[in-house]
Amino acid sequence: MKPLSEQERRRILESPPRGTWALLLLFAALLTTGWAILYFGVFLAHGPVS
Amino acid sequence: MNNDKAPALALANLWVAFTAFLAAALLGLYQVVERSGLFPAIESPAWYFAAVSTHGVLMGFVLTTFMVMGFGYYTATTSLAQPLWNRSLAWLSFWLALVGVLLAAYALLTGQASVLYTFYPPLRAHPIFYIGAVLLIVGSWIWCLEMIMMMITWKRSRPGQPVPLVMFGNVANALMWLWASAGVAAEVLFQLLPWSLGIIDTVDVGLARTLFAWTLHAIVYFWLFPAYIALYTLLPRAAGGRLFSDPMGRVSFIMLMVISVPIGFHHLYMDPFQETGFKLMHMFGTFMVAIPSLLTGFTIIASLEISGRLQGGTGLFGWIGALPWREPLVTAAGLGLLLLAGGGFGGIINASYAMNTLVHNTAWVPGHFHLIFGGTVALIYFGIAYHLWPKLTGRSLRSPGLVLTQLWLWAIGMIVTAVPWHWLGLLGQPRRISSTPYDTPLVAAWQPFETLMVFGALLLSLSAILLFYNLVTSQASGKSNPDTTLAYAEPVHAVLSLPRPLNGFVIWNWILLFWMIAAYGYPIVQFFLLDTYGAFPWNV
Repeated sequence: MKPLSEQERRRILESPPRGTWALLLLFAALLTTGWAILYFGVFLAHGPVS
Repeated sequence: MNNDKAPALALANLWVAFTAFLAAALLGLYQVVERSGLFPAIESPAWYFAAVSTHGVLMGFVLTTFMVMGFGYYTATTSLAQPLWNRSLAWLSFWLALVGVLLAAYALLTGQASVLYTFYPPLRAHPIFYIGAVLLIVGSWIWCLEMIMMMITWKRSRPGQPVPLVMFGNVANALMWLWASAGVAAEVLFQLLPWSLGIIDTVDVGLARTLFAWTLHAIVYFWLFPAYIALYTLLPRAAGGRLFSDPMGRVSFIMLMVISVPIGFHHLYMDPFQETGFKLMHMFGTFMVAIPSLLTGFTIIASLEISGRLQGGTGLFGWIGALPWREPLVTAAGLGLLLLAGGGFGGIINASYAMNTLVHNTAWVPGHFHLIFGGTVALIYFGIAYHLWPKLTGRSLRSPGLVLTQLWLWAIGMIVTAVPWHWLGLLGQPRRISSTPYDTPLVAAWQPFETLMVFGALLLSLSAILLFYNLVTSQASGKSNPDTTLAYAEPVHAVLSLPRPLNGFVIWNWILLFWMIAAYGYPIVQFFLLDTYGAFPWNV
């Protein structure tokens, strides 16, 4: 890898973390899906306490 | 080597931590094999409960407390560039805690303290077990005092300057632990110890469980703190980049300190002696404590993204492959964060008042805390050890390849163990059982998962032995490492000044005091106002 210029380095340090947001959105989607599967598919499927 | 950095004290603490860890890991293998039912010859409830109690105490109290202390002493002296506040007292804390561990270990290994790591009454242990626990806690309190006094001394000599983030985290953990451990300390001193000594005949189980709940959730953050501190202050530099935000770290540490203590009643959702309203209040707090973990996840991943891009990574996710994955702390943190995502998901189910009924007291619960503790906490502890070892011992890691193998083995082993464990919980297997000798279709359905867990536990045991081997051989025969300076991550934007609440803890202690009174005041006082009944001891 060729060394970064100071300008390029500064640009990276100041850039918004797009990849991080994308990863966290993916995590949030998986979390919500997992929760919904457990809530609707397992918890409610048990029915009321008898 | 500069004696002001306290390497001998840190090493002594870390060696106790990892020796306890190795013993506990091997006991874990025995428990999984025993529960599987594949080897009837080794099935013994007495051995099982002695093993599971020892495993829990060694992992939950010994590995963690000594790791926190060793990490704290070393990072305090190196970040503040000043000696320990009181070196003799710091060594006293080590010896007190170690004697406590040896006393408790005697009671545990002789089967006189098979009370599990939560030691809930009416299970009763030998007095030596409780005395050992008290000494361990007192040792940790001295560590807290050292951390607080070191920060105060530093601030006095540099008025207005920001306390280094690593030290701010250590002191947040020390203060949080002083608040949190008061619950279990009161339980042991005023209930369990007099009861086990025969001074009182019965014990109020509801009060004991309430006091333990005071400590029980915050202790998880006591374990997690050094891991989070390392993620903020060591990892970005190890990955070749910068910390995304220093103030974000301070906000997370403050939130962990304040929120993690007054929320323990999610452990008592199914217990009858606390009112529903208080449980609901604790539930909201439990969800709030996810916020600092999310903040940490964001800040650390953003820091890694900066590192990856500085090393040529491009595109939305190309920076991930560009990270220096041969660096042990980077691999440990990456794997640890991955397991934290899974553990966090399980935690949300546990914390939900209604959905908790689905998993309460089932195998799901140990599956969950093994992902968080055995996954995230332990992996990052390994990463910290590998990162600090060359600084502490003056010798390089002997085999970097074996170090990476150990980390991957542990992560894979933990996934293979913990995922079926969660599933067993959903299938209704109760926790805290030694075996299930019932010939029913339900029990038969558990068998494949238990067999899978045996493979996971084998990988974990192999990894634990490898960790020990790596640390011993590196210290004994690694190449000489003349650079023993521990360097901390620089933030993208240097912190030159901070508002007082982000550079100290006075206001946060007041907030926590009021929250604690609201959360635990009446729930504890009620035991002295209402007619309650004491329980006689039970033994395994």
